[in-house]
Amino acid sequence: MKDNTSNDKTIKVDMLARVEGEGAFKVVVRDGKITGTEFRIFEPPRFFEAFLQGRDNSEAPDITARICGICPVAYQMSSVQAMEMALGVEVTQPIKDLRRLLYCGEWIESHVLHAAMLHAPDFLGYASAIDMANDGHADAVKLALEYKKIGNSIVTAVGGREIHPINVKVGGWWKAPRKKDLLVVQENLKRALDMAEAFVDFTASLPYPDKERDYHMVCIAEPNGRYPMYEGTQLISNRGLDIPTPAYNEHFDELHVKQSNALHGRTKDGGAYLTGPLPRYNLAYDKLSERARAAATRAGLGREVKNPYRSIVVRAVESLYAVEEAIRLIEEYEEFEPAFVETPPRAGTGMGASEAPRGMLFHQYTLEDDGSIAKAQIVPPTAQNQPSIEEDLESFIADVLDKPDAEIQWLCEQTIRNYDPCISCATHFLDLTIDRG
Amino acid sequence: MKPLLIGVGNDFAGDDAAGRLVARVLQGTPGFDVAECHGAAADLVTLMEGRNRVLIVDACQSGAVVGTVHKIDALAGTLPGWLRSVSSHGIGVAEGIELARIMGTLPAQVEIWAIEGAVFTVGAEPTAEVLAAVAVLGAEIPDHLAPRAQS
Repeated sequence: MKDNTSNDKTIKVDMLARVEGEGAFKVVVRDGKITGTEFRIFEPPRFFEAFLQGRDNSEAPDITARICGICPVAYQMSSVQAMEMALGVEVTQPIKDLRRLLYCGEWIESHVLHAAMLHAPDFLGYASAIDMANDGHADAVKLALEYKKIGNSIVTAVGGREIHPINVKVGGWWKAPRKKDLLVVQENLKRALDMAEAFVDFTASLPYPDKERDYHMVCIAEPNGRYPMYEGTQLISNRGLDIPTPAYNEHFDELHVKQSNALHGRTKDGGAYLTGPLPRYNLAYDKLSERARAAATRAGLGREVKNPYRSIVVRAVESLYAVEEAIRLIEEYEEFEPAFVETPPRAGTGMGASEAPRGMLFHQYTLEDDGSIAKAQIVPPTAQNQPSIEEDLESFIADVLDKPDAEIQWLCEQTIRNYDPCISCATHFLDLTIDRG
Repeated sequence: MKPLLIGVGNDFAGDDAAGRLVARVLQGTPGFDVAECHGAAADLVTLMEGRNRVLIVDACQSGAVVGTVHKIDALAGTLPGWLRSVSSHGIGVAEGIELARIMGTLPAQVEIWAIEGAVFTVGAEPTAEVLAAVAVLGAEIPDHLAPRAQS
């Protein structure tokens, strides 16, 4: 059988400060069956864990935010919770509510960007959002850009800057925003409700492969019963897991994979698990707003979603929820002083978990007596999801092996983008090798 | 609205910081507004919206002498292939302009001034030639974008 290595395409991307890099996938087929798969990405976050050592704890939110340009808030939110635990401080509910508001902004802009600009083209048969916009879908792209802009405006108003917010600090905020400024954002959010509904309908209209798997789904649980987003005091799963976040390393492993620089997340018994919109939806459906649940029903989503190709719709539903939640948080917001609690340095270890748009993000820090960082562990959702990605690819392309390689590659990329990983950002991120022996 | 200068780039990747450095040098200059971004198409479309005139400054690698400044009229035709995307999403400056064109929101005047870089590795400092080009553009752009405001 033919070896198609002559069709290999390698696109090298710069090693930026985020989970990013070459994605390569190899399929070994013998006698018409897949006998092996390898999925590789080159992962830079280890550098962050190293150069955080010796830094003051107060620097962690700003440094870790640079891991990702799309979800810097997530890194800030997990890091501040971990640091505050290590320092033995508890922040006030107004501080927490403002953090949740900031997170709403990030969810909206990240989910909408991914769904419209990166993933929707896969479903419609376009190589890019540009081609999609140029071929009758300009309105959908325009809607997404306007919608995303409103998400960005929350991050600017609360975080002080659209990308890599500057207002977040260990202990709270540098400055609490003025209510009148947030009310301007709220007016835009009210306009965004119709956009959000239209966006759910757009994603629901996309043709999708009819495939499902029985995932081990993991997400955070909040102490106040809210839809999982910011305050991850517990980690739960659809297989009975319900642990305090500090116990993360007793239940999960990060593994070096022989064929790759990437770290894979697995449970202690070696199993793959999934984190992201599907686990949140499945495990916290009842915590969505009534409007978001109604939109989900209208979009054809049931109480449970096991088809990863429907994650694009779940992202749209979560974005609608985030718009409503942001409106509510601004309505209830009262200006407060001081904007932060004091965080005197001390030795300690702390853990924090929050839900980045693409899944659970875990941080752990150990501090010296002077508050400097002795050790750091950062576990991004993309790392945790890699084994699930491999299993999806193995499962979902098994029945299309007789198709042309270009069609197989398309489905592989579409499948990987279900996870909204940063590695899908490059134009031609996937180097597909099919070894047919 | 005033003309807008957009400095595109990555502070942490050597010469890729060029566009942002130009923007910072010119922040507060009378006669035009200044913005920075990392080059994602969606952000560029949003920044350009409502403007009549935009100048985008970015780094590039075309093979020319380091420090060369390429001046491109974005409306004059297809953008050169070496005007690579700095966005990890693979949809950067060229795509942002194309997207704005499709959306019907492209300003009447869009120029790209791209500074030829040599070093783009993470953690590197910009090269001396690129820093010199930044200084030259810092002196040249005010009169280019808003000559009357400078007198």
